Amino acid sequence: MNTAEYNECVKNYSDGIFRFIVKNMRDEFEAENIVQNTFEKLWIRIDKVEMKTAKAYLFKIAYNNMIDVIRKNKRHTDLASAGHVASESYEYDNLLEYVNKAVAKLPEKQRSAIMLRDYEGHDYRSIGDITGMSESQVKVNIFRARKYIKEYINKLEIMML
Amino acid sequence: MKLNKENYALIMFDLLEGNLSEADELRVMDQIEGDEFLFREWKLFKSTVLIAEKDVVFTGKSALLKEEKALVTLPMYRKWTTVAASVVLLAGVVVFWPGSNPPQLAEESNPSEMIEDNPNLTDYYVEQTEQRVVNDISENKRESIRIDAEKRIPKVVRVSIPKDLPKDEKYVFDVQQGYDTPEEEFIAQNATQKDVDGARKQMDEKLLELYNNTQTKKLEELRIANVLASKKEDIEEKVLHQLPPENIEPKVNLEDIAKKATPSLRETIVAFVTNKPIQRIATTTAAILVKARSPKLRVEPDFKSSRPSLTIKFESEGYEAIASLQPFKNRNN
Repeated sequence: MNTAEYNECVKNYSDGIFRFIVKNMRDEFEAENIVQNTFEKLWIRIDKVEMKTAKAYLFKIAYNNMIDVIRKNKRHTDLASAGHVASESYEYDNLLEYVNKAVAKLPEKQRSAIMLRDYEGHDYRSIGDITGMSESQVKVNIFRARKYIKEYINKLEIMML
Repeated sequence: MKLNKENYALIMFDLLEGNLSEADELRVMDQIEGDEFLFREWKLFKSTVLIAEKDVVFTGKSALLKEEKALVTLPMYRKWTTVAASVVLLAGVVVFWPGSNPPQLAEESNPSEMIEDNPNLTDYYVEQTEQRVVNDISENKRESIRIDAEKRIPKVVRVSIPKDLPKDEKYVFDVQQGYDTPEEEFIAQNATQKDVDGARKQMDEKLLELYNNTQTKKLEELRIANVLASKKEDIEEKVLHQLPPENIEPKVNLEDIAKKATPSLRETIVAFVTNKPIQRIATTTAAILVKARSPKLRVEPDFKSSRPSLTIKFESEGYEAIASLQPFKNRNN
């Protein structure tokens, strides 16, 4: 990869990585740091990374960095029970916010897998490379994530009736 | 593929993920649309697709961007660098001729003969260049020529320059190898057009004499003056000037190329070619040319393409040296 290709990566992928991290961590400051660290690592290894694998490489670096930060800050996401939904439902007035709230309550692996799938269009293998899961694990995690979100929305709708 | 309460979630998931075939998709959709419960479940499943919020963007992109190397354009003087570099190569080929002797002269040979046609030739490849030297003289023959050359009396061309020169115009005029005194150097660097022309005329006469009379053909000590008679001249012209016109076969008009340059660029070119190191190259090459018998110089520059090249073919009796340069061959731009 050359400098021009590196810059192209910055332009094409920095938003996606930032979005992925900030949605995962809900902390813009940490997300910005992670994006910067990610591209610094790419720049250091610019001679060894090919353009065609750069996107997956960047997301993998960002994901690992995010996990490190989460562990360091002890900010693991709780597996929220659906029972908590009722007391918080009044804060949300549209479907997008329901979904965001549900995503925030997902376990980290499920959340990352469904975000990489929907935000960036990664296939199962690519998500597996980034998160360190097998393809079948990725599929299971995405399935569970969707099922959880669906149930979350469903319960909220019932509460709103 | 029949949907029921046990499998509908998995099938809807596969439908949503695009994991089903087109035919299965149609079958599943038919069932979903025909069942109120399934239809509602499918609607909820579709709601689980996350939509990227495009307004969430990373604002620190500019700090991450790295400066890209500017494309290398090719100013005119660079092209003349090519010329100068080729002259260096040519000079190097002849000066460092195998056998560590001065260039040897062939006794009898036909200048027009194509050396490459001789199957007994030996090629010498010089590292990192495309120089090719072809020699068709046997060792014994070369030795006899060398002895013959040593018997000759070296003749040094010297041009006297008046010491009371005005300082209005600056020209460089190097007659011999270096200057004997600072004063002589000062005089040489401040020669006027008239002085230069006069000296040049004398030089031409001396050179013609050298060409026409083999008994007076000098060798090692001779360095021919490099004359910048006017700013229109370029380094190639100065070299070519040392040769009888009938022996020069330029394929392009170098002067026209120089004229196409902008005035400021032309000044740059002149400044470049008047640097002393370049003069030394020119004078060395000129000296080499004078040493050869019936020298023939063919200059084939190609400045039109994005990767300019220059080939100089120097041919004397029994020798041909080819210096070919394409200094930007491996550049992408």
